[in-house]
Amino acid sequence: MAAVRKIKAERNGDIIIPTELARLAGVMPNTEVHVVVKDEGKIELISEDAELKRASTLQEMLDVLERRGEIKLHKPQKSKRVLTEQQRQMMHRELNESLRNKSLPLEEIIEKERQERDDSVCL
Amino acid sequence: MIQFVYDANSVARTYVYDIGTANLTQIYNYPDSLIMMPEIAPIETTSAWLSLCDEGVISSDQYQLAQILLEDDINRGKFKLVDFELQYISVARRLLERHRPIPGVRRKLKGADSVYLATAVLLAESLKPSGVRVILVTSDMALYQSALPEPNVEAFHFWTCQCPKCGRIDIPTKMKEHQCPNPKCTFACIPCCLANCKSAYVVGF
Repeated sequence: MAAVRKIKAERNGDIIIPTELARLAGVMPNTEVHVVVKDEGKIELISEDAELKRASTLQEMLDVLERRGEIKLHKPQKSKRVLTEQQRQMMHRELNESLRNKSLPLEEIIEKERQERDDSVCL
Repeated sequence: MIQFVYDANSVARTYVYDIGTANLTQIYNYPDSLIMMPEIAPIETTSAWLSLCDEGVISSDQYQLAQILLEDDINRGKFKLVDFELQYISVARRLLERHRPIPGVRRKLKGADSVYLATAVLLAESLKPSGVRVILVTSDMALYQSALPEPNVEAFHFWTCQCPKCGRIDIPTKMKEHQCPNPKCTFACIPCCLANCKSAYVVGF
């Protein structure tokens, strides 16, 4: 893979690779590939589909999409303490206990607000 | 693997129980899956909860509890907020143009609805090579009907119920008399509400 070593890839990213290099790397010419810089300057070329297919979890796939700039995910605030399962269950109970026999019109409120938003844009 | 996309109704009903909450709880715990929503979902949900609070239907304490639980699910990554930035606009416009109302057949897809559907469509396009299924979860009939014909996107109406007598699956209308659609079955919920709900439905995708 001498040709691969000629690429001066200093960071991970996407490039369009020339035909000869594509042949050596085993990907389609002129397709976009992801460059992964490994230890000791070795690089790895992965086609977009292969990169997604190689991810073993849904979270890893979303990370791939985010790295490519296709999506932007809200990052959870690590400094915030999360509730224990017991706390969550207790809060769910407390929230719903007195509402057990009521049918709250939440869906109707959301629908009405959406309709009002649409209607408020008058020409 | 399944990527669920929630709308505001799904988010709101995860915490404030009604018919369909049992289905949402099953989805919440569904294996090998994630739940995603556009940033507008917690905003619409907050607005709806506040309306109930302003009308005295729920107390300020209950409103606060619901908010804490939602924030906790976002903070620990159970609910993922996604932003497609400008890609939304062209996809949402295309969806609004495609899903115009047909009297008696299809309801109008509204502006905010199109953001949820655009989220599901864009995710489905991006994840297509991986074979991940994208399922939009809603109780908004217009959004549900518009999602059904969209390629690569599946839709689930979380009011879906199963007759405990004959097993027939149906989507009822809340607070209306609901007769099992199986002509040989006599089971009825009068009216369809959480207190009367006997649904035997088990979510399976």
